[in-house]
Amino acid sequence: MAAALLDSVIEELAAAVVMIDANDLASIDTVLRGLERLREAVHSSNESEELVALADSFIALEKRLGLFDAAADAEALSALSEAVGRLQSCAAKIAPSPKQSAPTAKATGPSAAPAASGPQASATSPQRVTRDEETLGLIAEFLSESEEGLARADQILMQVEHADAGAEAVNGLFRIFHTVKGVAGFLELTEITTLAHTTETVLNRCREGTLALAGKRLDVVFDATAMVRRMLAELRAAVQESVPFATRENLEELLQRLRALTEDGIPAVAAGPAEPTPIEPAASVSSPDFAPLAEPTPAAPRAAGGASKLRETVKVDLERVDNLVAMVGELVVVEAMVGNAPEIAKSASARVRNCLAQLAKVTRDLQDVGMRMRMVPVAGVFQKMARMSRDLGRKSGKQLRLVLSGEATEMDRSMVEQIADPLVHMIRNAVDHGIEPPDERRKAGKPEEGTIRLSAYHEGSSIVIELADDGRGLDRDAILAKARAQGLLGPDDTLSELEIHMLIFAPGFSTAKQVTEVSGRGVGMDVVKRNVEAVRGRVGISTTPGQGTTFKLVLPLTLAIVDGMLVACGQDRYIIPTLSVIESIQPTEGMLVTFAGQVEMINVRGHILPLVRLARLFSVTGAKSDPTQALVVIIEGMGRRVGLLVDEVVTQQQVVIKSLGQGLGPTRFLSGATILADGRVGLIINVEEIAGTTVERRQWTANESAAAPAVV
Amino acid sequence: MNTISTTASGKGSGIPANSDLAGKYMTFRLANQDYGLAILAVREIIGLVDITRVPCTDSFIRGVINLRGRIIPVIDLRMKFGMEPCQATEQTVIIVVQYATTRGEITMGVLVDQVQEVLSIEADNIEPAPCFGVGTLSADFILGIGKADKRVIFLLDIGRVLSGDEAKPMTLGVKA
Repeated sequence: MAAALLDSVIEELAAAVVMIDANDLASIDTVLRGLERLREAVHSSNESEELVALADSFIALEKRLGLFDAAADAEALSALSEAVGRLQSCAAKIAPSPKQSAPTAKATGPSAAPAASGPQASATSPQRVTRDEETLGLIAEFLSESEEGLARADQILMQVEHADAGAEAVNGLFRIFHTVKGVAGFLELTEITTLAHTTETVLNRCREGTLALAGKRLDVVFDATAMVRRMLAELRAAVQESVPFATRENLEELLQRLRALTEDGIPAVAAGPAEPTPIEPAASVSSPDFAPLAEPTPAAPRAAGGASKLRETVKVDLERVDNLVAMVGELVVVEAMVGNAPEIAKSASARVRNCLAQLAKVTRDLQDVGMRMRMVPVAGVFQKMARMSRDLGRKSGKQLRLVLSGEATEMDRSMVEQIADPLVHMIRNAVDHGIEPPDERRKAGKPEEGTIRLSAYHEGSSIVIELADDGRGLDRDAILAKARAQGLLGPDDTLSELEIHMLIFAPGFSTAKQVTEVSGRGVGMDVVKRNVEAVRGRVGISTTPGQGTTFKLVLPLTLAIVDGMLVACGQDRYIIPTLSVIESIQPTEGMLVTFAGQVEMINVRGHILPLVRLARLFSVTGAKSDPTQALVVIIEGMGRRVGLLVDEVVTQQQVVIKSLGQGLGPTRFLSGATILADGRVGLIINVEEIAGTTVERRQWTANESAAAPAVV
Repeated sequence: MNTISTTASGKGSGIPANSDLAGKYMTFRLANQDYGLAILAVREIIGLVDITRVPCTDSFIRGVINLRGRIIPVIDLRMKFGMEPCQATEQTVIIVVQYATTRGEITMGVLVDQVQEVLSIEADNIEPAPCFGVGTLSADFILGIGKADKRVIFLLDIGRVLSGDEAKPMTLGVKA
């Protein structure tokens, strides 16, 4: 039982180490806690002195990590992940048959000689390959990544063969094997892990300068690379055809040769359990710990359905994908031009029209496929959030559960990166402000455990990321009081519910009574709004006191295409991204206000917004000069709203965003361009820039129409 | 005849050796004067198409065009050289040039009155760029002056003509 516990602790720790990120304190914290649990587990199980020593040796590392600040010690991290790798393979042998392992460890521990393979064979952990969908995905990823790494390793080895092994080359090799080992360990591919690890040990010596990577050693590393590649190929075959993942007969021999390398030339490092060397666990647990893994491993259990298919992936240069998408965009435009040409409409036979319809369909399908090439599921980010919320819950002493749904929803990969930060802040906000402490929840008749639901789904041509908590809801009065205290509001300002809610997105705003580790510094929610707007998205809030708050991020499907409103201004045509458009209205005389005869403003249901004449801003000639004859499009960017005076709205359409390219000089009021249906270039207005340059007193407030759909 | 023996190939220092300049040039007209662009910089020549004006840019930038899906800026070389804007005629064309800068390759359209022909100019027929004197227009963007059939052809360093540092209309014409 103790062994099983140990096993799971180590597994968790290894997973945490794989995920560790120097800039993410939460992930470091997870590792620290994992280390703590490991020590407890090891000491209580008392299975193997060797393990105890190993675990103790982590203390020093733990201290270093504890002091960790993002700028500091990347070295500590790599030492740690390496050490955990060792621990993992070590435990993998010991865990399944603890009784046997204790004497084994004693026998092999202090002596530098390679252990006899006989008795240990039975201690080898069977290859547990659970082939659920997720694991398969991971394996596929592992295969493609490792193969890439090995190709690079070969390259480096060739270079080393012809020239001296520079530190950079050895480091490169080390990293490759280290990565292979890490992921293989995670996937419980014991043999690959062992081989990669043993190779890594050799390379580590080279890195430290105690061995030179040349001659015989180089050959062995070559062989190891080849062997890993063969094993990967077999793994691929094994998974695809559901056959057992057989062991290489000569793996053992190779391992012996690798081990021999680390032993000749330098005195073996004593790994005595009685004298752990705390700072360098790597040295204290050198090769002897790795008793040979032998004998073909038992057949891996087959997937339930038997038909397990790896989803093969190809890594493609992002630029090529972008090019393809751009070309497809062109095709769509040209197709539309041909289809709508009056000459064709006049003269075309039924056959030509049929063909054109077919062409249109194929083109649309192609566009769809092209778009999807840039899409990735949100699952990755969601998983990260799940880990983080667990940590936050523990830190804040609240019990909570994160329920994920719609992880398979796909969105543009650059957008996935963009929403990671906002999600972190939103979850922090939910944990700190939303979810109540357990006793308060009990009093309110709610389950002690708070629930946060994170979901993703499609809504029209947008993707919605929704974060709902069942906490206390937004505290209207606290927000108002704080806003007044911070001078964001005058004492007499009256705001709608929605405006009050939107206040939490103001920079520097926080109602947390005290600054905690989790939140309260007032940076955060404004980041959410900014990041979401940067990808042309929108944030919405709905809240019910005592029942919880729901944040809704409405994001465009992709960054390559935007829903645009084509507006006319004189002879010019411009595109305004529809997501930034709140509404458009035809102003009446009474709505127009002019300050000092020049600063124009428009009164929209009691809200005074600056009025920007697009014609004046862009020096367009021939535009309508009387606002009551023209149209005002209310746009929102950088949290500000302004009215943009244009002649008329021509149409709404999806446009493929293109860069304006170099050579034009600065074009601050334009964010890009597109090709219109007539083949001409249309310019896309940079709403953030236009809204941002106008000064408005209540710059961050939003009015009630934010929730209403845009009216054209 | 060729007495100049600088080895530098143009950039900044000194006058390039004329022999480096010998080669093929795409010649075109601006206000009855011939100019030449090294043929390697010219990607293609297209007829006048709809140019979308880009607001808030320099006046000599006429706008952007759709070149088979790519959006490229078009400059009016006449305005760049401080002359009257180019009036569209049957002969007006856009020469698409591509040149390398420190920020990567730039493709641009150059609006000219008329293209002439591709001329092969011998080193013997290329004079170094004259010095326009202090305080006047920099002669940097003139590689040399070519002579063919009694015509004088200004050979332009298109990278310099269009580069960001000089992205202002020039105040002086270069009609020698």
